[in-house]
Amino acid sequence: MMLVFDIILMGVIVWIALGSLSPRGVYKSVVMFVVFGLFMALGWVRLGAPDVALAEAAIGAGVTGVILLDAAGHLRQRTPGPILERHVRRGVAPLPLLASVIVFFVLALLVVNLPAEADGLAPLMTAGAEDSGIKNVVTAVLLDFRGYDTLLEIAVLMLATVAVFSLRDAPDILGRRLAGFAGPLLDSFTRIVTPFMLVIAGHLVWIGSSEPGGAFQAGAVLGAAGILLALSGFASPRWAGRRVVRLSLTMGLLVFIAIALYPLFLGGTLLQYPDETRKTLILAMETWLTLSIGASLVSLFIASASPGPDGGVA
Amino acid sequence: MNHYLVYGLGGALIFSIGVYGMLARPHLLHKVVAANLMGSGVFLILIGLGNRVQGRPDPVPQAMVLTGIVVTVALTALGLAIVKRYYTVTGLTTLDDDPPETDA
Repeated sequence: MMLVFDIILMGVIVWIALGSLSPRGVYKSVVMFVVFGLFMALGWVRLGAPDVALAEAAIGAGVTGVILLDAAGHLRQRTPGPILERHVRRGVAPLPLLASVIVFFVLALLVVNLPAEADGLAPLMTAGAEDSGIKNVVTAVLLDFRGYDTLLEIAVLMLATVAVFSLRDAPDILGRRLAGFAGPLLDSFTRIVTPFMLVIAGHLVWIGSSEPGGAFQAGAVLGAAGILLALSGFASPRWAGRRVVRLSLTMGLLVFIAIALYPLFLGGTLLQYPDETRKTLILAMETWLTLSIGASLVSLFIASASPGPDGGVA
Repeated sequence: MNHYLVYGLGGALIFSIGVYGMLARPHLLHKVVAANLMGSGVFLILIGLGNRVQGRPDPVPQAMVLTGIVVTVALTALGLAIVKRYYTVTGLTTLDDDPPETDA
């Protein structure tokens, strides 16, 4: 019975993926892509990955959707009215189709030929997670067993933010109002929702050690709250230039590096936390990571966001 | 047929849809969306295959995908920033040498 559900869900996801590449206008693509992210989140729940589902809904659908929408709006500044692509190819391009069919069959062969049963690393990780006192195994993998990945990832996020800042169109964009939709409805919506979002972010990072949740999901909610504040005009984009924001942008990486180096002084190796302080260190790291990821997501949006049509000074 | 196969094969299909979009769609925004689709395909295969174990699914691919999702949003933001800058400088939304759509 559940298999039928899986097949239907996967069919819908594939159908939406096809729709997100529809040549009939970029806006349709972007909206379809957001819907795609939400259905993917359903798929993650079915695959027993609630942590990934939370991140996908908040980051994959939410933040990515917002920056894609903003870019779609930016790309039609000089072309008012519906985008009529000159290069609309309604038919199917034969060579790319051939390439993608070949890619599909190679991947499908690999997937089908793997043994249907595998030992996996779950028992090993669960045992290790019990020792470290972090009950959510995914969090334990992220910050303890595979700390390297997360360390490099936060570095990637920070570098991307710096790069986006340096690519922005107008150097004075930070002093401008965003192309928001400020109005009474959004105004009161923001007033009601933002406090809840902050509480949810705090909750997610706190329960992250034992239940689905953690720095990534909390950071995503925090970032979404920041983007909402910027769009509704409560927070000036100029904030992205403030020292507080820049500090929280970099602190995640710096604290992570400091904590990664700490065991070296105790005679251990990099990222090999001593058992007695492990949980404290991981929680401290998660808190800073949350702030850093949140600040990065807001900055990624604000740095590249288009200024309002009036170009007004906020 | 196991349910990991449904998601594994679905992931392969979505990855190849992304490949098609990347090659066949001229609009740069479509290419960014296609790159995202390719990423999602990889994630589906990873977590789908992590479901082959008895009992609880393998947490390691899940952690890798979490990392991947955050890296993907960084990639998307950087890609879009480049696309917007390119548009500001050239007025084009594709990589072709043709004049912008408005002149058509």
